[in-house]
Amino acid sequence: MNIYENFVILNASLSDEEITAAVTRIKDLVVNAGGEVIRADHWGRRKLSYEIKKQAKGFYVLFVYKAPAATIKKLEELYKVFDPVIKFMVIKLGPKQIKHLEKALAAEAEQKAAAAEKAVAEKAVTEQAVKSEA
Amino acid sequence: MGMPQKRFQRRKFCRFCSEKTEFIDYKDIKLLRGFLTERGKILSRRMTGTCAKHQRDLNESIMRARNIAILSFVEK
Ligand SMILES: [Zn+2]
Repeated sequence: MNIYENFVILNASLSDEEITAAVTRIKDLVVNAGGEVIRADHWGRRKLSYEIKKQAKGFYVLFVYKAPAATIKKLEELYKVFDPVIKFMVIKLGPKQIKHLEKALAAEAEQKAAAAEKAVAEKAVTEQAVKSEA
Repeated sequence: MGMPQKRFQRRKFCRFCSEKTEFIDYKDIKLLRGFLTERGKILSRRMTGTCAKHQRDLNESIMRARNIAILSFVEK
């Protein structure tokens, strides 16, 4: 199993529903081909630095997968014939990049946990305030 | 004494070595832009002081960023 980073540029004129459907199709292919989707970040519609397939804008999605090489081969075959995709790039991460990714994921998980804890604490404070008012 | 540089101060040290950068991220456009001319061409090692290893990494990152159109090949 390797870790891959995959940028996909989708046609920006697609509706949000069509974008979601395209992203789902990509995720499903990876999972069905024995991979795991670690990340699927929507960067959204951005101006392209140069025109691609007569498009000035694109909808960027950044995926990160844990997958065997065969999965990526299948994925690339899909991209070549999948109309919503105007450009893609797959990169295999090196050990240093993987370490960096693991750190980032851990930090995000910690942040999420802290935010959840804070929400619970705030709720308790509000309830306390309501009680003392009553 | 060399000729005075127009825009770029010559650097003596490799920025990535001195900052102990683990790897150069091709998604970091702000960083990459600092190693390009106004027209988007890659600045030479002599100009930026980057060591040979990091210049190779930098070139690869710039090529990747250009590939996905978050950096252009030539600025108009
Ligand atoms: Zn260096």
